[in-house]
Amino acid sequence: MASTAAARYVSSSQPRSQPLPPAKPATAAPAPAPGLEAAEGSTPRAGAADLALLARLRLGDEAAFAELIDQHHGALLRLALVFVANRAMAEEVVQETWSAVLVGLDAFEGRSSLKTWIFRILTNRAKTRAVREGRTVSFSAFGNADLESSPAVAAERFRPDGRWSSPPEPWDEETPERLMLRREIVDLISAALDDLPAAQRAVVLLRDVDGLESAEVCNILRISETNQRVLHHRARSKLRRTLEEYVGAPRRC
Amino acid sequence: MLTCKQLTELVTDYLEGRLPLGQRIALQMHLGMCAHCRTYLRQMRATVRALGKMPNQPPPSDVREALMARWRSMHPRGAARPVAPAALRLLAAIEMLAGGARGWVAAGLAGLGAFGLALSLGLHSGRAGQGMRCFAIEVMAGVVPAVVLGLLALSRRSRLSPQALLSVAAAGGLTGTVFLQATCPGAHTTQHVVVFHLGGLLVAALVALGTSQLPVLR
Repeated sequence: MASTAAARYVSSSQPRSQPLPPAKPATAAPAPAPGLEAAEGSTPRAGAADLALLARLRLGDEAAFAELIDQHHGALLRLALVFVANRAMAEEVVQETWSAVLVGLDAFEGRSSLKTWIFRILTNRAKTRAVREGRTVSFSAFGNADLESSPAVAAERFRPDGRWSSPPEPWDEETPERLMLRREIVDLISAALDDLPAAQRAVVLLRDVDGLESAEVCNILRISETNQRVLHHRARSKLRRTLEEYVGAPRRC
Repeated sequence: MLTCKQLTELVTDYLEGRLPLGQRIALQMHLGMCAHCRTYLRQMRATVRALGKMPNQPPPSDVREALMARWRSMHPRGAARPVAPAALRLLAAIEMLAGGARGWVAAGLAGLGAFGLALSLGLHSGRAGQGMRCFAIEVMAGVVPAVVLGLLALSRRSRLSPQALLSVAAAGGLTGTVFLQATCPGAHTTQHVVVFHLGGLLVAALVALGTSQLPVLR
């Protein structure tokens, strides 16, 4: 549970103080009951902290605004980079977003979570900017050869009857998590994220890195639920492959 | 029969809890028999967890400082707090209280407060028994449908918005009011209506709000 809710956004570069007992690592953390695993990776977030923060912002609490910036700035920058050409431009878009937030905060009606609202402002600004620069980001998951050419796992790894011919090698249960403590794996995932097609990157950033709900992501990116699912699936599958290549490779020390 | 290859394409929907029952069962049966696919699923979960642990980059200090300066210029120190209207402060307090487990505390406190107020006023007017009866019916009429809706949502593992529960509570409470019009002897005095009927409605709404904030429903 600790890895899901609030912890998601807390920078996890510090090592965990009490590592999980190695005896039952996978079952100890998530897994309420079989079939309930759905919750993993898709915990809703708004709620208490969000409302309290909003209340403080409306009362002019400076620390609340600082909290908001610290919490979302990095994520906003990452998302802006999906749309615009370079980092300088992305930073401008994020600053524009914060300006719009400052001005619009009092009028914010709370129909979406605060976070969704902010991310939506960013997406609008970034898209406008991208169009001005002559770039377009296609959010269509369909109508291209991509679907055929990018299955979740390379077709060569299956036998003609659909069973594994080259099955995945088990990772040490917590490998990626333990490896996250090392700079190189963070860089590896960052690079893999950058390599994803824009639409997939936007979806997986919002869903799995920032922990938003699928409905929120559809709202932010203005894409359909089906489209979101396809993009999310492809992105996750591709990222697993990247990790597999790294983790599965002979360990260098 | 589900193949390994098909499973790798269904895994995201499975983890998201979106597979229709039939496919979910087929997938779970396959997992039960296929160690490779169990490995695959574990890797997928680990990947998702790793993504969730990507460090969050704080803003560069100059950017942060510029934004904070902007905030300060819009919210002059000393002016902001006193200027905030009382209603806004109350709203903020409720918003803050309504979050998380505190929702229950807030609902409980409000309930106790309303109960105490109702009791003392009722005793004064010499109709405590009658007043409390109306109060109780109002609360029940609001709380019962809200709790039923909550349980329903829980059993279907869907989420509820506070608005849904609140409106159910309000609707129930209003139905109670209409029902009571016929039977309530005190309904004609404003004091009685405000204290017992509106008080009951308010408590029911707060309980509903608290219920919607329960972790299991979120």
